[in-house]
Parts: sequence; C-alpha cells; structure tokens
Amino acid sequence: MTWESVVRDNNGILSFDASIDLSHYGLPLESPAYVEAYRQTAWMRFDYGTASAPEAKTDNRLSGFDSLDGIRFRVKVAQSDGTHGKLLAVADKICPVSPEDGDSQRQCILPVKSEEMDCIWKLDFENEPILLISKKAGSKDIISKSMEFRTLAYPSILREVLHEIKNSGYEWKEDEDSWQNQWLKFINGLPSVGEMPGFSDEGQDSYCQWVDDAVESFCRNLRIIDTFVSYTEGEE
Amino acid sequence: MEKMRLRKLKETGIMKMGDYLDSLGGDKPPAFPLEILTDSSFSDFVSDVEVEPRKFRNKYELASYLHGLFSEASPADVVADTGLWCWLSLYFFEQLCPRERGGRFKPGARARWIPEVDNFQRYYRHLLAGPYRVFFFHRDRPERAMALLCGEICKQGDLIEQLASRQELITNKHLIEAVTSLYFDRESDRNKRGAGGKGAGSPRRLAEVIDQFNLTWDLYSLTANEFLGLLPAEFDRFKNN
Repeated sequence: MTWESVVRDNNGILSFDASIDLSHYGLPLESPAYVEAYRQTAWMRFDYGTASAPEAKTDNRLSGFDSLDGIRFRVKVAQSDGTHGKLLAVADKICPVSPEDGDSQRQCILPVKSEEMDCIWKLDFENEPILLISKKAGSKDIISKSMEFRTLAYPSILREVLHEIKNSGYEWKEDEDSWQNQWLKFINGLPSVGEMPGFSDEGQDSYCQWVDDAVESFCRNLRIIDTFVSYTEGEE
Repeated sequence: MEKMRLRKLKETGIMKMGDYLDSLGGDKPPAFPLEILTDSSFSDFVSDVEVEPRKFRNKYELASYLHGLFSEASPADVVADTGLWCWLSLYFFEQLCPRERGGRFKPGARARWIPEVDNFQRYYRHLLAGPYRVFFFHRDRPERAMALLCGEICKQGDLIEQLASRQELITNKHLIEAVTSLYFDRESDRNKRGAGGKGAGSPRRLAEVIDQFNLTWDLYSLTANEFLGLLPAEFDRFKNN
C-alpha cells in the first residue's frame, strides 16, 4: 500500500490529509475503506470511500485529539457482501509526518505527550510506549530535552520498556513492524550488547542481565555520566 | 441541599475539595465544606440554570438529567470543564458517596471526583462525567447503552471499566446495542446476574473477545445481531436468558 499523510496544527485545529493507493492488492473494487486515527484510548474513524478510489468522504479534522503527539493511523478495508464486515486488508501503526518534519526519515520510537498528573513522568503502554510528562511540571518539550531529564530519566525509561517487551509476551519476528521490533532494532545499534536471550522462566536472569547491558551501553553511548557531572559541577 | 444556580470550582476550590476528600478516611469526618459551592473565592457563577437536589435511581436518570441541564451549552466545553464537574460532584456528594457502615466515607480515587479531562482512559471513572459522556455518545437513543447506565451512581461497574475507557468501543452504536441486549434485563431494569463477574461470558471476557475479533472483523461495520452471532458459546447463558 502507498500511504502519504500529513498532519497539521492550524492554531489548535488539528487535521490530516492522506493519499492512499490500494490498487496493487486485488481487493474487490467496491469494498469500503476506512482510516482510523488513534493514540492510547483516543480514537477517531473516517469513511474513506472504496478500495478502488480511497478518498476522504467526511471532515478530516482530528477533533478527538488535544495534540498531534504520538498519533498513529490505520487503514482498513472490509468486506461489504458475503461475510459482511470481515477485514480484507489492514495497515496499522502508520506514523504521519507534519510539515515541520520536512524530509526527515527518522522514526520516533518514543512519542511524548503532556498529561494532567502528579508525578513528573511515566510510560503508557496502551498501544506502544508513550512518554507522559506532567502538565504541572511544565512544557513537555523543554522537560524531555533537558539535561536533567535525559541523564536521570531516559536510562530508567529504556529499562522499563525492555522489561515491558518481555511482559507483553512478545515473540521476535524479523520483518514485523511492531513497537517491540523498533526498540530491539534500536538496541541492536548500540555497541557491546549481545543477542537478546529468550523469555523463558529459566532465562529470567539472563534477560535481566541483557537489559542491564543494554542500559549501560546506552549510557556510555550518550556519555550520560560525563554530561551529568559537568552539569552538576557547573551548578556548584 | 437546596436548589442552586450552576457554578464551577476555581483552582482554589478544586484544591480545597481535594483536601476534603483526603480528610474523609478517619472515624470523624470533617463537616461538608458547603462554602466551596457558593463562595466566590472558591467557585464562579456559570449560568442561571438551576440544579436541584434529586435522587437518581441509576446512572441513566442521572445522565439524562445532566444532558437536559447542559442542553444550551457546547458539549465540547461541558466535557472539558473540570471545575464544572467538580462543583456538581460536591453538590451531589451525599448520593455519590454514601456513608459506609460505622459512618465512614470512602470516596475512592481522585479520578472519581476530579475528572482527568485529557485522559480518555480515566475520564470515565468520574462518577458524573463518565455516565454523561456515555449518554451523550448515544443521545439519539440512550436506551441502547442501558447495560452501562443501569447501575447505582456511586458505583462505576465492570462494563464501564471494560468498555467505556476505549473510544472505539463506546462510540460503536451497534456494539453497545449488542452489549445491552446481552447483559441488560428489561424486566428488572438491571443487569442480569453474573454480568459483573470475571468468569465465562463476563464483561472482562467480552473485552478480551472483542480484542480478538478486532484482528479479523471491522466491528464498526457489524450490526448488533451480526456481532452477537459471532460470540462463542460461553456467552449463550446471557444471550438465551
């Protein structure tokens, strides 16, 4: 499937445009197509015509979302006759781009979202990991990029995500585009981290050791200690 | 409680309300802070709409009343107004938080009283805003959502916990119609026995089955009967009862 989408924030009015090509899948021409936007438990659905001519049939405003952070899309084509409602094709976890992203092909594996809460940060694993930062603590962009947060919180975030991969019952599949795979590919890119061990009970200790190694490598790679020490010495 | 014109709590009022809720755990709960509802240092006037001290048999009556109360207001503004829901929660406090044995109050989690308006998952825990929003989504025929709205207003209920926190489920009219057909008993005006449990055919199992169906079916395309026809045999005791 070819999918190009842009999300826009025009003075608080959020919307998207998507151009979809389903012509290579041999789908019945009149099968209805839908686009769904989602993040955590927020969700909106848009009628997108038919498999032969997918195009927006309704208002494309993302009124059910308070920001564009972490929004993902899925495209569904359903059967309209015979076994009515059966899914014929699904493309999920599609990341949109915003005009500010330009031509960047880097994929964000940890969207950040503001949340009304009393702790400074926490992870939400409803669909994929999302870093929630308390509105009461300040701007999510300033906090998540601050030196203090990067050095103190990100190693713990990585550890929590890797343990969640195990707890989610995930099974490695080479070509899968799941959030777990994206994180494991990120870990594979770190130096001196061995192959991920299995999830069996007997492998519990070796998995914890592997997570430790990955977090240590992450910290070394980002020079977390040096950054933290130079900051604290500068504060004195 | 007497009739009052609709108000909303200020930040100071919400803080005082939070303090009051926190203080209710002991044997001698403090006096109800009535001044929060009326004093302009804690709350602001909203409109001439009068709120009256009613007794609600269930969430449906409550949500229907609130829907009428807000008939002139913008739904988006109502849903997102934390201060408004806090004020209403205090106004109906006696019904929302009946005394336990021994005279203690057990208000429960903050989200039941102070809505988390940015968090769809926890918004439904609010004892007033949750039922109101379910009613609002199904306002063309709210009886469709009776399985979620037939319970006491001081209790959230397992169906709300399992279904209402997920927008793609709670806004699906055919699915909610099927859920009511499955669990709601029109004769007794309550949910069928076992509809709050954990075992076979329970709302918790239904949520799991829906997750499985989502892999194969476009649930929004299915009619209520088509959805019911797909359910495994463990749900037969509710279908045939």
